[in-house]
Amino acid sequence: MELDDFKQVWQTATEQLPHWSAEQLQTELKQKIRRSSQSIYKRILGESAVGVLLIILTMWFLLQKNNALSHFFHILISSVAVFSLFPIIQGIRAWQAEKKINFAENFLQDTEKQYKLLKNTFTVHLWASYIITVCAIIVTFLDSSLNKVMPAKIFLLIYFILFIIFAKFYLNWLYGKRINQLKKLIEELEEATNSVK
Amino acid sequence: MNINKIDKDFIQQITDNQKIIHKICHVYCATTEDRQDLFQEVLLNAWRSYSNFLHLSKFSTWLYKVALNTALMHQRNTQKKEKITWLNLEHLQQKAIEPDSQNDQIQRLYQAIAHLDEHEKSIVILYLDELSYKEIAEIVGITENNLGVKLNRIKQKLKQLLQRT
Repeated sequence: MELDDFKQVWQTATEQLPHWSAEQLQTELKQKIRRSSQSIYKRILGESAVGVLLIILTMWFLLQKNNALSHFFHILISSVAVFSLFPIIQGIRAWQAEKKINFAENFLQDTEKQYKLLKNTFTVHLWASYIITVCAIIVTFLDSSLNKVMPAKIFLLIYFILFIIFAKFYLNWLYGKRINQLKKLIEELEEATNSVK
Repeated sequence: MNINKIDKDFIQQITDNQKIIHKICHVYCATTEDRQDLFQEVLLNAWRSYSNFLHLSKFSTWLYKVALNTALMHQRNTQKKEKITWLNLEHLQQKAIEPDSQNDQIQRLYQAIAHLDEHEKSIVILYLDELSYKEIAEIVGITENNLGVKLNRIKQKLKQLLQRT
């Protein structure tokens, strides 16, 4: 049998497909809109928000403990606050762009844009994490008030060093799957729209 | 976009053209759960892209594009392709000894289509839906000449697959 022989069967099968009412379709759509919030972007933003909260609490703690913090400390703490905002802003941009992908027109171009944006978000997130952690190591190392509780100071320093080592693995895991999916999709779309050789 | 402001016109258009989505879901997904997931995904992407629909083409043509592109992205995200192909192959062999009713024929066709790549599947759906070459070329984003060549190759491939049953 050839493909054309199946046209009649195909039409019959089409007629037998379910037909949902407008209300049912609206319910399905509403359900999906609610569920679509479970994206990696929520996770990225959620984790970044927790990070910022911890940083704010640490700053508040240090300022409460030692009002006479040096100018250098203030610069470091301010840097941490500023750098922690970058991944959040970039994450929001990537999330918004993902929602704006036009699935009818310019799908390939929009997917390419999204791929580049997500890769940039990964780079920004990684470097912001490195810079924040290095600042945190310097603050912990130089803060004399922590010398009274040496084990805590050593623990914090080891924790931050381990964080630097594992940050790349974790972020690779967090972003990698989506980045690879988009890359493969772009390759497929390009291959499909290329001329037949 | 606000969840409570789902355009009535959009819902009406989707209601009238929903078979397009159902068909694509049946071809691209092997399980009911996966089909429902893809169906909702298409609805969401159509809703999000609807504000950019300029009514320059028919709504059905626009919906085919959205649904097929969503199916491509969905396939990339679910990554169940190998498992489905393996199951389908087994199913194809079983079908060979069963009577050739209309239901069996459509199952045979679905299973054979499952062995095509994602873009070939798109072309087959549109061809079976009797869209013109011009419309198919517009939806899949290739020239009519390329479409002719690709379609011939797909027909040959399907013929071989169907002969195996």
